[in-house]
Amino acid sequence: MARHVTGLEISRYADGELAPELAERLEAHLTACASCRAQLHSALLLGEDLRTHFAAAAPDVSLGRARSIQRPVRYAAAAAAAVFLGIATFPRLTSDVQVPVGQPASVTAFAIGVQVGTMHKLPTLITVHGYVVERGKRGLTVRNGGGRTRVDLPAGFSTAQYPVGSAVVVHGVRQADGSIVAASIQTIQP
Amino acid sequence: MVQDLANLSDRELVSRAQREDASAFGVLAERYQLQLLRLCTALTSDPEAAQELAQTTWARAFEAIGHLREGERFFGWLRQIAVNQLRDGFKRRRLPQVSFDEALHDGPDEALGPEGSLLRQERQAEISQALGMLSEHDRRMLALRYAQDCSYREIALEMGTTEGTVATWLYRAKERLRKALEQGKGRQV
Repeated sequence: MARHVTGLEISRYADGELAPELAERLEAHLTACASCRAQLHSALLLGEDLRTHFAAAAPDVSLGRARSIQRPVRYAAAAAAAVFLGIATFPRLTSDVQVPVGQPASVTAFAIGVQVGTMHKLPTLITVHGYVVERGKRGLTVRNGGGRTRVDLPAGFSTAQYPVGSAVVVHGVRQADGSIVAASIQTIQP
Repeated sequence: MVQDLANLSDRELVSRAQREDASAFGVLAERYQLQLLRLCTALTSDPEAAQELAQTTWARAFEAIGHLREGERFFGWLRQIAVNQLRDGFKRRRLPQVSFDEALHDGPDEALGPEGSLLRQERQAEISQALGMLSEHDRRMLALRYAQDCSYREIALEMGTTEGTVATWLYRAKERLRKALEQGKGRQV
């Protein structure tokens, strides 16, 4: 067996910060080494514990709702991916999920009073919580656990009250390019 | 048509997939299916778990392809999704299982039930206590990474140092946290 990988390499890999060639070498080693695999699993769990701890330290009431809203989308995506891959076991993932299509739906606006309107395809409602890392005239960039998300504010609303570094919860409608048109933005006071 | 797509680079395929070209995503899936399965096998060591992890990774990738900025790094991005899915799987298994309906209607804490909520609270109390035993520098490093989700590069800029040093600082902070957690458990016994 090749030499064990170092704890430092496992830590970087768990954080997604190991160079691709080193990541491949580590993965090749993990295939045959239960000890290093256990170390990686432990590192992943510790990272998750820390994320949960810090998220709880800065209360975020939207978290549960965000997961609730996004999960049906995930299952729909699973079904779509299954079509590509022809994976026979996918029905296990999708069996109890209904994804309504082609029905009118509207999104009720929240605090800033934006009516998104009636659509003939259900929009993807989403809640994003994170920190403002960029601010433009019409929109913000919010960083959260899943990366960066562009948030567009409707005409007539200013981004001035959301300074870079502020913690926000955004409710809105996801666009095809992954950005969000906000229906409401709440700031979290630390 | 699919034959033509097969000649395209990852970057071009990602770009098409982001414009909702389903065939382009299909070609990417075909191109990396085996490589991803090998990766998932390395991460789990269990063929069935590997298959399941690969499936959820593809599903998540399909959902999130619009967020990928550097299409030429498609597999690296896929790798990180797989690792994140594995991590999420650990978290779910450690807590009592809840049904989709319960999670949808009750929110996470209510859906976990008393036992799950208690387990989570206990673990968070342990983490909080262990963090209190670390230096200010260690806590800051961990907060930058796990509270603010900063990359090593962003932390390096913030701290005025190199990414390699950040990696070492973070590794040592996590090791000290792990030891503090063990000490805390030792005192409770």
